Amino acid sequence: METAQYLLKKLTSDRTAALGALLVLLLIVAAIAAPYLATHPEDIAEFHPPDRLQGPTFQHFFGTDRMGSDIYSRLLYGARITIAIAIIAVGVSVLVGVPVGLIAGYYRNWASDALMRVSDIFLSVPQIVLAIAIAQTLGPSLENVILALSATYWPFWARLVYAETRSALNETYVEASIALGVSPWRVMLLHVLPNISSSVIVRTTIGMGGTILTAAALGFLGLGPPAPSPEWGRTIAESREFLPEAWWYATAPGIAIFLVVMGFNLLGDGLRDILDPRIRRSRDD
Amino acid sequence: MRAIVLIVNRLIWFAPTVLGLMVITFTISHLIPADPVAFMAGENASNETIEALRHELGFDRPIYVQLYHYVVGVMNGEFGVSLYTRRPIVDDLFGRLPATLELTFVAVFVSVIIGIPLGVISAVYRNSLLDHVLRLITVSGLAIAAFWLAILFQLLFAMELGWTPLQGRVDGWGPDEVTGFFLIDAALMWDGAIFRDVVAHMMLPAITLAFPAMATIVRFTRAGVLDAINSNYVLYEQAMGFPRRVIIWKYVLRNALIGTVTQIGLIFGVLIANGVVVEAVFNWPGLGLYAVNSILQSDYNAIMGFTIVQGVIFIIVNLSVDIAHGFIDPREAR
Amino acid sequence: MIEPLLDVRGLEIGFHTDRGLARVLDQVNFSIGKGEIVGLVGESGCGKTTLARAILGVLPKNAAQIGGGEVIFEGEDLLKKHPSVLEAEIRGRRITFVPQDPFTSFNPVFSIGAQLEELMKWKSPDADVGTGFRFHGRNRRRSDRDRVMELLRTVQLPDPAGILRKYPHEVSGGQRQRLMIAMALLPEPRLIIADEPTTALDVTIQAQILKLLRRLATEFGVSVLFTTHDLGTAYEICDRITVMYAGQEVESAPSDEFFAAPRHPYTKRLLESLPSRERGISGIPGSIPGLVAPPSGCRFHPRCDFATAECAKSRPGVTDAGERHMVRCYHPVAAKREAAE
Repeated sequence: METAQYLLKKLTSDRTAALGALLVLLLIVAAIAAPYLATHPEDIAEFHPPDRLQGPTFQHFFGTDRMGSDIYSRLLYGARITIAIAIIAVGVSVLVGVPVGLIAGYYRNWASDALMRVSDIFLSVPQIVLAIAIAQTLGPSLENVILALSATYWPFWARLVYAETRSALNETYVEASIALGVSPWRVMLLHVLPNISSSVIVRTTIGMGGTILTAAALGFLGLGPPAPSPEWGRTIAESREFLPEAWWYATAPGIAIFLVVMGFNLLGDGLRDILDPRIRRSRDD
Repeated sequence: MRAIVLIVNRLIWFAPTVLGLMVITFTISHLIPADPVAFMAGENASNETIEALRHELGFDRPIYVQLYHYVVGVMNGEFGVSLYTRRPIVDDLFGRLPATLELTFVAVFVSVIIGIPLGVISAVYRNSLLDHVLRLITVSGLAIAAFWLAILFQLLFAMELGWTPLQGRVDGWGPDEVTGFFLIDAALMWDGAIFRDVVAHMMLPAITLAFPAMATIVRFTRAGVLDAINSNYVLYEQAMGFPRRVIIWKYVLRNALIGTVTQIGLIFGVLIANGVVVEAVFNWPGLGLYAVNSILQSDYNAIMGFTIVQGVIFIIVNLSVDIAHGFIDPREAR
Repeated sequence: MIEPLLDVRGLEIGFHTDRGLARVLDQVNFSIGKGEIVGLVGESGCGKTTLARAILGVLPKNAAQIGGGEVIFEGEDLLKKHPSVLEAEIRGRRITFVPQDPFTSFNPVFSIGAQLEELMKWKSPDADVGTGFRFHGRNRRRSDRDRVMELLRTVQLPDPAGILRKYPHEVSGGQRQRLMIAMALLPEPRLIIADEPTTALDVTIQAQILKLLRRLATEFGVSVLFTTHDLGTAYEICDRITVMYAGQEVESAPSDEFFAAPRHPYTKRLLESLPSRERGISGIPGSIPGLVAPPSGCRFHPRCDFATAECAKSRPGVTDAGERHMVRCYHPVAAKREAAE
């Protein structure tokens, strides 16, 4: 609790980090309260072709799309998709990758070498390339996007945690613990993990942003949840044929993506400054 | 020399990594929920026809045998035939490669030429207005979806202002192909009109692609320069009256660049990833657009071929960066 | 009284910190004569490095604030000079620098020879003064190289030609410091500022470097400002020693006199804290004050056995205590000849 209070205080004093936290909060609120905040909640399923492609008005804050649906409301429901993808994909990859890296870093045998080689292979391709292959093969759907992103993200964590575990093991106090006969599990959980946790937390936050961008790109390419899903990337793809007249159609979801990713990035940077002051002095101010 | 050992080590792992990649793509391609043979045989095929086709295509053989033949096939350059273009996929891929490579190289060039000096200035004039503006822009640059930025640029510069063409690589036939790199080919032809046309078409895609890369470069260069500026050797050089500009642009920069060079691998990854959607938006006839069309056509083999080629490119780039780093940092050489 | 080479008068410097303005130097007076090796002694944080950097003009621009005073060098006040003039004429030319850590003070990605060549390009006695674009012609380069090789031999470096080709991480600590000394001498300066030059070295090497520095300073007729926290080192090499405490200089005397008859209570305590068989190990009760809100008047008064109300009210002025021996104290210790340790 004390750490949480300290964190909160530090966060609010750093303006950009506070802004980031605010944006992330906005996303969460939008997602959870979508049915209440939306002006036309029924528009995620219903269509009103006569109203199609109208510009922003008081009735439709961000205008209407090609099916006449209210873009603002669809954006709010799209936030649900965005946050679900981010949390689940990043969560799964962290929950898989961190233990893998931890164990592999601790027991340095042929198995851990093999695991790291496998991770390297996954990492030898840009994430989206492999994700496209997977999502394409399995078919466009929300679950498959999450699966594709998780499957291509866990190796990053495995590698990262492996390297940090190795260097943590070199610390004298850890060596001492091992020499004293502390069980491997205790060493890993009580000594190594807390030390790498700040790095993991920071990168998780920033990773949310990156994952959202990749997911949006997959949606843009048609590999995400299929129509009539209000997924943000898909919405932008739909808008293309109606440009330049229906400029609001592309602008709104794009700004939404931008603000959300920006929020995670700023928050991550702020967390880095708070959690690891050593790095802070050389990186930024 | 340790550098040589490092290089040999990395080279040894090149082949197994590519091999592993093939295994992964093979595995993925066998994740297809539906029966691919039935798919290929068509809706009305009888069971017998399907089985016959299965035998003919070798899908009834054990998995490891299939894997073996797949790998051998890929190494011989056989990715299969594209459902869409009806040509061997390998021909399609290598036909599109120059367009993507050219775009990527131009983007790298632009982002480096602009990014590094901006990073240095940002660090030297730390906390000035310019620094804050730059940091704002770079943070934004990393938060913008590349495909959205592409659409925005297209909207603004091509549709509204009409300053650049809307899409494509050239209007008409383009220069005579000598290298496949249109900038070079157009220059070789000594034809101003064609050259201008090539450049005009390249502007928006290259800038779109360069934007996030530039953001990364500015950030890392800034950090590297700040590190160097706060170092003891800079203090010494200052104490001994070395001219300030020599300190910054020669001594600090060299140290900072070593860190930045290692980021080139990271940047290439970003460029390849964003290249897919940027090519899609601008209809740039490269690997990315090919992949997008293959997605639309459910052309599984083509996607696998694309994955392998992009993977190999990325592996080679990272390998080169590692080798380069071993050479330019004298601390590594011993 | 011969005019000193360097005369610091009433120098006052503050550093901006999170907690306020730290008064790092409080009206410091300090001087060095021609050909003199002066030791600036004090514990960590007493301001000796800040004084050294202030003379050179390389204080951190944003954090440091010069509150007043003069730094007179060869008759001119360095504080009033334009930074570009300091860079071109003073630093690396008439005043040079030997850093504390020779390893991190070399640029790691350039060869030693390259860095020396750069120094010669700008600061060789043959080089034009100024920092404009420089054409380093072949003849100049050859004469520079000759001069460098000669000096490398003078500092007793084996295989000078080989060393020039190497990178900083490829030579030993002692060799690096010899290089630093050579680099400090190359421009034929009047004053060398050596900031704890032996602290980072092995003990056996320390003695060699000290002897070398002293010999060369005499030979070349160069004054040296030698900062250190180690009294033993100061005794080895210095003609005169000045003690600083918490940003104030408290006593200054020729070496022998300093050890034989210290007058300031702090100096006395410092000397007594040197471990010896008779005395055992002792320290000084209390701790060094923070510099944001330091003690008023004489900053040592809270820890001083002889302190009175006067000591807290205002800082003591300079009192003559003998031949070129000055002390700043209201209650200087009686002159008692102590057996030098």
